[in-house]
Amino acid sequence: MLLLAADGCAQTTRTPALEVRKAYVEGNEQASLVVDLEFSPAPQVLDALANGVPVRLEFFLGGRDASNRVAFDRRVLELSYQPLLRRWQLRRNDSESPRLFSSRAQLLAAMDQVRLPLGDDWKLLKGAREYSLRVRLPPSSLPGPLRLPAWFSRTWRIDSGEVMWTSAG
Amino acid sequence: MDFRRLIRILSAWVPALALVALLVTALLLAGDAETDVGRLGRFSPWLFAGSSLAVLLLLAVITRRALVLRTQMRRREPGARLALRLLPLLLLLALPPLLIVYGFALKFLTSSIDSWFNVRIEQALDDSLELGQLVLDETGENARQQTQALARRLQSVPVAEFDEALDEALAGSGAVQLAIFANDGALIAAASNDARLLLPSAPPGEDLLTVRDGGVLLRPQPFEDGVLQAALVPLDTEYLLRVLVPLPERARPLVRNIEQSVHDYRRLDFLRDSLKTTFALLLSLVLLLSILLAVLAALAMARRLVQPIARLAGVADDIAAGRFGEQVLATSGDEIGALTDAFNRMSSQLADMRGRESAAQAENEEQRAWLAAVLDRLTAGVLTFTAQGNLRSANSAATLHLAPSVTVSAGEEDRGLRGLSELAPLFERIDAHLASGAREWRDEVRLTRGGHTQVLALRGAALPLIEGVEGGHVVVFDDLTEWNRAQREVAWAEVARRLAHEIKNPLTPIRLASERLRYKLAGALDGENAQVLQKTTQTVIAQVDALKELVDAFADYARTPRLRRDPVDIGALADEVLELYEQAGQIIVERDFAPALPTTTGDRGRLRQLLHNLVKNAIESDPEREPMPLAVGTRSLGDRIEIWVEDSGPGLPEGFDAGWFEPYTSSKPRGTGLGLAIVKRIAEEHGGQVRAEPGIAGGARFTLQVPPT
Repeated sequence: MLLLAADGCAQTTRTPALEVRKAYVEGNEQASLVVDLEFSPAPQVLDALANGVPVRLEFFLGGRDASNRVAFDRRVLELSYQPLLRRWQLRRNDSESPRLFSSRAQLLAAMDQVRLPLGDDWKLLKGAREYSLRVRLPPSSLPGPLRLPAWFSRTWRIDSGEVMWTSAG
Repeated sequence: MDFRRLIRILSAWVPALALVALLVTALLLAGDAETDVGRLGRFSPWLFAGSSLAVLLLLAVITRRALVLRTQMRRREPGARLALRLLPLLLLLALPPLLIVYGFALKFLTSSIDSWFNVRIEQALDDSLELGQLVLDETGENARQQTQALARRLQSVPVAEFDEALDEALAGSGAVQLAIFANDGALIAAASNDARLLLPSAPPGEDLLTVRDGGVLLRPQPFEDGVLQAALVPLDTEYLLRVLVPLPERARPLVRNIEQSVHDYRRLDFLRDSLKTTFALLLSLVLLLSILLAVLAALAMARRLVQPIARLAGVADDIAAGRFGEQVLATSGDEIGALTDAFNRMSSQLADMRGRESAAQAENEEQRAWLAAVLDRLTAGVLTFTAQGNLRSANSAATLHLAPSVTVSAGEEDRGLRGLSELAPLFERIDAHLASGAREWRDEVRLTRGGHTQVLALRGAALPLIEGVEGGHVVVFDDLTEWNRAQREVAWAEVARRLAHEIKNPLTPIRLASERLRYKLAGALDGENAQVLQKTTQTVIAQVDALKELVDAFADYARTPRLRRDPVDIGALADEVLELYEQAGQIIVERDFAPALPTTTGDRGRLRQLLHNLVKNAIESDPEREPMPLAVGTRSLGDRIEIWVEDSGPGLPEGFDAGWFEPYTSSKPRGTGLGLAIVKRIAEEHGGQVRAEPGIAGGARFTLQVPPT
């Protein structure tokens, strides 16, 4: 129990359900994170999604320039299903208007490339930079009844692992 | 704080803290499990890890206490086995109810969760959802018709007038927003009667593509806490018209509620199994907590229950080991307390009895030691025999009298003394009396050993019965040898005194008469008669002189001298005496005098007489040999001064023993027979002794030992 809990606390290894194929930060005045994802959740996750359990993917980006100036940002994408509207919804935590899709396939296709606007801190980074990105489904974002089983089940371990890259600036 | 004390403190507090931690964790996790957005969501793994650690700590404490119990079992400590027997009984009391409650709680929980879900409710929710969807569809259809009609109207409106046209169209349309976009999604014109919708957002790219292909797109759009129906139609080849129509006002909250309710119900239904699993896990955690608590409590209770009995058993072991008087503190007023009190009384009584027994034993030992001391200091020999006639013990005097040169170990008197053949006559006589069955008897035994005769006066008595068993026999004997000799000497002295007195008186008149007769008749008789007279009177006078000498010797022996006590150099005195005889040519002396010989305290005259007698005895041992070679020497033995006179005569006569120092014992044809008796007497007057032994060169050696000053 202890080992599994510790594993859950310090999980950093990539799981097959999620892979970052490509990621970069574009723009100077208004920086945005562009991530090409390969998101293939397990059937139980899709089933949960269809039954009202939202899936929240957390994007945690960190950057550092040559002068050791650092910037961090955290964005959350929530995938959910609206039974009344019969639509699949994709919503950013910092955006008021969600995107609706008439099919689950369209929703998952929309996850192939995600564009997330970043905060003003990124303007301060100059020149060459190092970036690290991790995309994961935090078990704490799941409903209470799923949290404990999620620690023992690999189905709910959706984690891209830490992805690092550098840019010339 | 030393390590052991730290372990004890931790061992006492850790279980309680761990139990509290587990309980709190279980409560928090249980509370968090039901909610969607758990406050402790991100702490769940840490809570879980913490509770796992608490379980491990509890298990460690329980294991340690179990190991302590096992160690106590191996050491056979009092109370350990009883505690081990009590432990499963106590657990048997606690565990079944726990398991029953767990089982029922689990069943109840799953049943309760299942009861939340009802087919009818599900059907009602599905129907409501369908109804809501119908309202949406109808609203959407209205929006589509409205949009298409408006699109037709606007097709003839110039671009510059789009805003005005949209404002006009908005007024009676029922829509909340009208917007015209270019094919690339750029906003051309917009009108809205809701401040929140003044800035229309561009339609998604896929919507633009869908509509550009000639379709009409109807898309519900979440807005705030409601839904708007969005209809997007191509206006012409360059522009697209979008109309946002709200749901009827009365339907909005209903639709919202339907969506929320269906959403929640379906989610809950989906999570039903997970919820059951989560609660089962939490219940199991609580069960584990309860079991661990039960085990800890059982261990503590067993130890507590057994402690008084363990203390009693420990003290019982002490008493069995001989440590009487130990007490146990009675800490309860129940039957165990009463048993403890009774035990304490018993221990005290045993201690008292032991004390009295020890005192009696000490008294017995003291009396035995006193009796042994008395027996050892008796001059009479005491022999004890078993009822079977085996020699049981002999006191020091008995061993000294019977076998002074033999060491007899305690307990081996029978082998030591009975084994001596020279004592056979003694033990034969004793055995005869024992066999006769006489309760008391007296006898006298003479033992002849090494030419020396020992006279023993025996008195025997049977010991009384001891608890019906024959106690054996005791034989007390005295060595009468010296006593008899002393009696003889006294008798002889008395005889000598009387004889001296009776005979001495007439001797002088007889001599005088003989001398007178010779004087008167010597001139009156002729030749032959005168010779006869001369001869007879001479004979009478000589015999009278001889008798007088004998009488003087008797008188001398019988006399009790009044001794002077002066320091006497025995070596110097001996030298004086020897010179007299050397000058007379009777002896040749080889002297071996120790230098710086200590003096002895005595009567010089008597000692001189003693030395004279020894020298005369040596000369008279071989009268034919003149001068007689003598070896005379002195030495100091620390507590005694020794002087010896050794002659070169024929040696001691056969059978020479202590009896030769008695009066009238002599090997010479002539002499009074008192010489050695006088030597012995003078030696004893001075606290010394004299002995005779064969000389080195074949003669006789007489040694005198006297104490130094």
